Amino acid sequence: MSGFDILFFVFAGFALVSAMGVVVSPNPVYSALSLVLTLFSVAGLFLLLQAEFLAVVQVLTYAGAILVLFVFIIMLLNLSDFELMEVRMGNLGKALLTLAAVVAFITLAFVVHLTRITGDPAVEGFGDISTLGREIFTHYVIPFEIAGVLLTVSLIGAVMLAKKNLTKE
Amino acid sequence: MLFNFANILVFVLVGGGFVGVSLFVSRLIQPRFPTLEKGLIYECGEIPVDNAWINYNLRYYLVAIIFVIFDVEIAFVYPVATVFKNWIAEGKGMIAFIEIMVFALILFVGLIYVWKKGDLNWFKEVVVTEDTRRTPEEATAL
Repeated sequence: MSGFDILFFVFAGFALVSAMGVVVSPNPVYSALSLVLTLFSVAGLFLLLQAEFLAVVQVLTYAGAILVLFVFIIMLLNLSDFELMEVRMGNLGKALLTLAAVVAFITLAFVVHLTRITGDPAVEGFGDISTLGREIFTHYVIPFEIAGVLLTVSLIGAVMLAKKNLTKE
Repeated sequence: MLFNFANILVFVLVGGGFVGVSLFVSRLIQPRFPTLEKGLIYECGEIPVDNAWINYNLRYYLVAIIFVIFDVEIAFVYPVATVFKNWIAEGKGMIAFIEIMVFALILFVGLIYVWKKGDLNWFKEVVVTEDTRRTPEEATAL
């Protein structure tokens, strides 16, 4: 077992354990903090796959900015009424949900097993940030600009939705 | 390339180890006489009031959403910035500049939209009538 393998198992283990923490934790704030750990571990996995830029962006935007939004939502819900947040459901509902989760897991495992991953990057040295920049300037100019349009649309849409709630208050 | 990140790994290990070791050692040698006052959450010497988890103003949320969008924009600009100098050296600087400016302008439309709509203003315009007029003390308390 090489050092890479050990690191992979460390990161993967952290990701799994903290992902469990997100689900199991009774306190939503702790769930959000577990999610930060999960995102960091996945960033570590990206690093091992030589996707440095992806790893850094993962930490900057997901663990940084988007988690802030999550914590925000948690704060907006009234935390003093924990009991209200408990999902009450009967045994039938629990059984159905468990069944659905198991089926989803088996399907996922099957798909992962069937997928043949060649291991060749799309472009030589793709994870590298300057390679990415070169590709954006040459092959992917149009998708790059469309990404800008997408961001603008999501900005306006998100502000519209958020404002709907603001005026209601 | 990957070897550079070994630095970060060492940094994380040393940083985490530093916390662990100092907590462990202080636990070994500290005298412990816990009192209620010592167990309180430290709040600049004040006695803490209420829960720290409060409802923040929803307007922060709006600002946070706008921030996330432009955060992603900057993430897109980073890789471009790393190769920009090479492109200038190759004499293709103008094309690259126009490409990135088009991208920035598209997002600028969004910024102008939220600006015009007044979402960047902290205080919304309120209609002041005799009933809703605030005393100066109330206004500063906001």
